[in-house]
Amino acid sequence: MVAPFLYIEASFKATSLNLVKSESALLIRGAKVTGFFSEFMNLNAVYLKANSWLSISVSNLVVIISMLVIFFIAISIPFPKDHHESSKNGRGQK
Amino acid sequence: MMSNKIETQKPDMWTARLRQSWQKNLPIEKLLPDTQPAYVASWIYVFGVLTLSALAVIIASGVVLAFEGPSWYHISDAGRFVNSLHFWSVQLFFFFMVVHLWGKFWMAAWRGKRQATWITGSIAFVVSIATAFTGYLTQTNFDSQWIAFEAKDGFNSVGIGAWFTVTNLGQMLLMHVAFLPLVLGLITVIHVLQVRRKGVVPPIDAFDQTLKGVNK
Ligand code: HEM
Repeated sequence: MVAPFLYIEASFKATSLNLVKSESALLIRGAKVTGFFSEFMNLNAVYLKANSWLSISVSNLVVIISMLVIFFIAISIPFPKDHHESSKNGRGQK
Repeated sequence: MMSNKIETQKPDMWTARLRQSWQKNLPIEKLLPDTQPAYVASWIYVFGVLTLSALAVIIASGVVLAFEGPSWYHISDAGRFVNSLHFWSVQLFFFFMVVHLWGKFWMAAWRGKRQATWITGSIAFVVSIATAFTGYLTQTNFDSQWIAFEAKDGFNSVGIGAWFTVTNLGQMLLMHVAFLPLVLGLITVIHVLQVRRKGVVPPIDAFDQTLKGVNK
């Protein structure tokens, strides 16, 4: 179903795991990586599309949002204080 | 006939000129400082060094990959670990670099004659994209094939397809492991030296004093 403004497109999703299995068997010859992360990393990208002017994969969107979050954390939380603050006024102590 | 006189100083020699301008612009105290102004105690100033650290891991793991070759890094467990280390440090490198860039943009860090820092940073950003792109092209899998053939059309459509043959694996591999890292390394060194030379930019509200040369 295609919503008028924003919809998610996941092409070949149903077949992707089969494809991944045969591809990795072909490429890695025996030393196959398994487990949640490798299967997840090998899935096809899911795209968010808004009419024709925006198309972005969910993974890229997640990266951009986390960069924004880290940016705002970096400018808002205080930096730890120097333990030798008292000696800063120049008596030459450590 | 050669003269017996010992030449003392020739200020017009390039070595002398280079030495003098080096001593003037980047004395050792500026190059390796042990204190920083109070405003540097903020997390946003850490992202330049985080970017630099990620770059160090990229280069170190890349050197290992280059020495061992694809018959090791595509097959063995250790090889695939180093390959992944290389890949994921690139992801972190870009992540840190973008946060760094935003930080510098919103504090207008080009103030006080720091334009060279901003410009070398921008060049580093573009060169990093080219380096990562050629890296994706050298994976020798379905992804890299797909990327190369999509990029070929892009490059041809802007008229530079004859310079960069993105479907030529040999050319892309050599660009990725030799030429581009060298350029990126050089630009990064210049970028960091510019920061050392000018000192860290003060916050916007403290800027008036900087203009008067207090924090040159
Ligand atoms: C290879 C990627 C890069 C590395 C390794 C890097 C590294 C650094 C480091 C270590 C600093 C000093 C510490 C700090 O203030 O965070 C710095 C400062 C700076 N960077 Fe970058 N940087 C990179 C990319 C960029 C980019 C893409 C830009 C923006 C276009 C940029 C703009 C700046 C500016 C303007 C400063 C100076 C701030 C000041 O003078 O206080 N850098 N960079």
